[in-house]
Amino acid sequence: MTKMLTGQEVARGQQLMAALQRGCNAVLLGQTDLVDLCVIALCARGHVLLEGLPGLGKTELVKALGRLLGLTFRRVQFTPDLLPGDITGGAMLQEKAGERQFVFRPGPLFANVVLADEINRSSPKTQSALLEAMQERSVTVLGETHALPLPFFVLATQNPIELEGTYPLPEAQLDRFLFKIDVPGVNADVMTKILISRRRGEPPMQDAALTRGELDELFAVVDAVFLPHAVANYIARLVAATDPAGAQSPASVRHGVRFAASPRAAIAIGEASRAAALLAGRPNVDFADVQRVTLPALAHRLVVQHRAIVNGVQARDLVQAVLTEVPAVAPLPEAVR
Amino acid sequence: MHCSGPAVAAFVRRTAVGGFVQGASAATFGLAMLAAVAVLAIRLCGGTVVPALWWAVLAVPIVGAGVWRALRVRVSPAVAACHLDRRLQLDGLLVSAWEGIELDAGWQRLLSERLAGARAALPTVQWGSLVPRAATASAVAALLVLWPVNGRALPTVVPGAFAAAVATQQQRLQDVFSMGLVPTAMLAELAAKLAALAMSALPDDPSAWRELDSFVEQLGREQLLASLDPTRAGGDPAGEAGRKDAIERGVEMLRTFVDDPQLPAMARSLLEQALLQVGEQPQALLADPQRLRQIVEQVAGVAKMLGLDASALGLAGADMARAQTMAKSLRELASAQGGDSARGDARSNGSTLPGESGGAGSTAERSVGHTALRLTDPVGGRATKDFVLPEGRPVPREWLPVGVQAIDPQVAPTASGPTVGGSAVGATNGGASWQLQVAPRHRASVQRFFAAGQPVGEQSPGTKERR
Repeated sequence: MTKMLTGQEVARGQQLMAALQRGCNAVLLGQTDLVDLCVIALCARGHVLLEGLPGLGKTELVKALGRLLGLTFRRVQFTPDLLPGDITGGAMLQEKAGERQFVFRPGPLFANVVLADEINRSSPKTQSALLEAMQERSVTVLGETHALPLPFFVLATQNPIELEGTYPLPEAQLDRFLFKIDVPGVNADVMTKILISRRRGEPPMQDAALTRGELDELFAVVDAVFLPHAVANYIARLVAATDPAGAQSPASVRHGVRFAASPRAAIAIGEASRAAALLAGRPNVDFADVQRVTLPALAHRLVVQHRAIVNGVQARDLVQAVLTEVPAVAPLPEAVR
Repeated sequence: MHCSGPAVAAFVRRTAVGGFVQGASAATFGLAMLAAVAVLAIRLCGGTVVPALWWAVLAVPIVGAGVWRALRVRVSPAVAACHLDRRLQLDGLLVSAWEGIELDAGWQRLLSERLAGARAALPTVQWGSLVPRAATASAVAALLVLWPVNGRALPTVVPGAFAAAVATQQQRLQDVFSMGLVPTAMLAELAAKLAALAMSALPDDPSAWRELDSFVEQLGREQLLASLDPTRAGGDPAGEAGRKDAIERGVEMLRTFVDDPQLPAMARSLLEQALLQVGEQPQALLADPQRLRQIVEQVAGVAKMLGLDASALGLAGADMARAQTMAKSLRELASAQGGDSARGDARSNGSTLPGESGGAGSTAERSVGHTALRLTDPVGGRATKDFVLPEGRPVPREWLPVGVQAIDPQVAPTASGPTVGGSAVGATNGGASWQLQVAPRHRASVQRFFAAGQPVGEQSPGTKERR
């Protein structure tokens, strides 16, 4: 019989996640939801795509995460002329002991935390170089596959307004990201705090919040969070409801979605839900955890109809409709309440 | 089963109950509305609706709808566990435990604590939204059904009253058959009619009661006709011979009573009068039913006097016992001869005598719109009293014979007045053979005219004179 996490184990996992939360919140003021989702994604060992206007702190957040995790961190500024070899690394001819041979020189992907800044500015060819790294956690150069250091996270940012000279990420690429998070703006109170506590915009100095061992411990606890069958069924129904041909799909989905989410989306939601449950101090996933992570995990995986886009329908609206229409539990008859 | 098992099972049960109530109330509403419309239509068409036991069959579709609905909305235990989990704010702990995961002591304790209050978290049946509609419709239907006919309350139908009445008539028919007075063909017809009544599909229906009353009337009529005309049973020599024997035995018994020294004088005197009426040839009574009837009534009167008024005759102790024994014998004698005088006693025994109607009704309650008809005083020669229907019983819609009665002709001579134009005028004793229709405004002058004592013929011109 499967054993559920004990209360101490849950508390320990929650404590470790809270350390990450605190560190991120110290860097990025007034963005607790964003920080929580990032922490959840990291604990679920998923990649995150942050989309927002310049100056909202996306890069600072990623840099802070890299520091707090105490792992190797690399930043790659994606530009149109960036080549795949520039990020994966390549073989270089070296002379060693009088002999010339190709030696693999790892690129910036060979780090635990990789910041892909403005990822949509690079060419599709370079973007595709990330596919294997993100999914397989390995890089193949000249027929040789090189494993990436674990854990491996890609935290990418993109700017939604400067479309000239950009290359929108293909669906396959987007599907690799666990979350796509829209970074919201901040209000005046938060900006006041920023003005007072930041000089020249520099974040506070921080040490690593977790050691490598603690991070592994955290991952183990997240993996041990129990996903009940009823909740898994709910996730499956949510994902299935994004199918425009599905009988149970909401009308907005039937009319607005071109391609539905893949099973990878269901897996992503399940993994993220486990981390969300631990963050909430639960040894098991609840329906509320699923509802919390569904929007960032599902919205970027839907391909919206052009007609719907023209009508102003966004993917997140469709996901919201799915969340509204699909009940977590089969409703009770009207006769009882 | 996990500790949450009972709570989850209770949740499932409560949901099923809710579904049942929902289905049953919906069916009740529909049926009640249909019934109300039907009853209203029947009432408007002039019919009557009587609640009956078979109406309980209506419960079958109601229960069926409830069960169907309960099965349709039934939630699985897993779903019930999810609902209960959310209601108890266990954040998936109950769901996990229900799916068989092993909880440590801390979680187990938390689960047990929350489950202690599971009773309050069970779903509640929405009586307030389910019942009023069905109850209102049912009340309307019941009101329409029970609304008094002609403004009066409906009588309660006694189950089995019809069967009891039929059984009484069967016994009565058997008695008639044993007496051999009624023609065999008629008896067969009556027996067939009674058998059909016994097999009646709607025994408490007014029409069935009417049929039974008709049967009672017919049987009574046949009995009366048989007593008046013993030869009517014709073609039945065995019955006639038995009748003669019975009369001879009765006369012999009468003589024995008269010779009995213990018989009170008054009774002896009455019986002697009866013997005088018998005459020398008792068999002749068969041809004279009127005389036989008078004798039987006289004997029955003596029996009644001896049985009921023995104390009034000054008898006591053994004499009284003897008198009562004699009364019983005389009653049997009178009953054997089919006399009316024994009716009162026979009625107490549950049998009916010729000329009496309404035996089918006895005292049992019947259906609405129908009532037992009984002649209160059908003694020959006297007018039947007004028959007062019982309270709350409307007059039967159909014409029904209330009885057949033989009335003796008026044989007492009436003093005749002066004859005018061939018409007798009896102005003094009320026995006028013709009467004038006098307008009220002329009444005083007419009275003055007759008070003057002048013959009518002299005062008023004759036909010829007017011409």
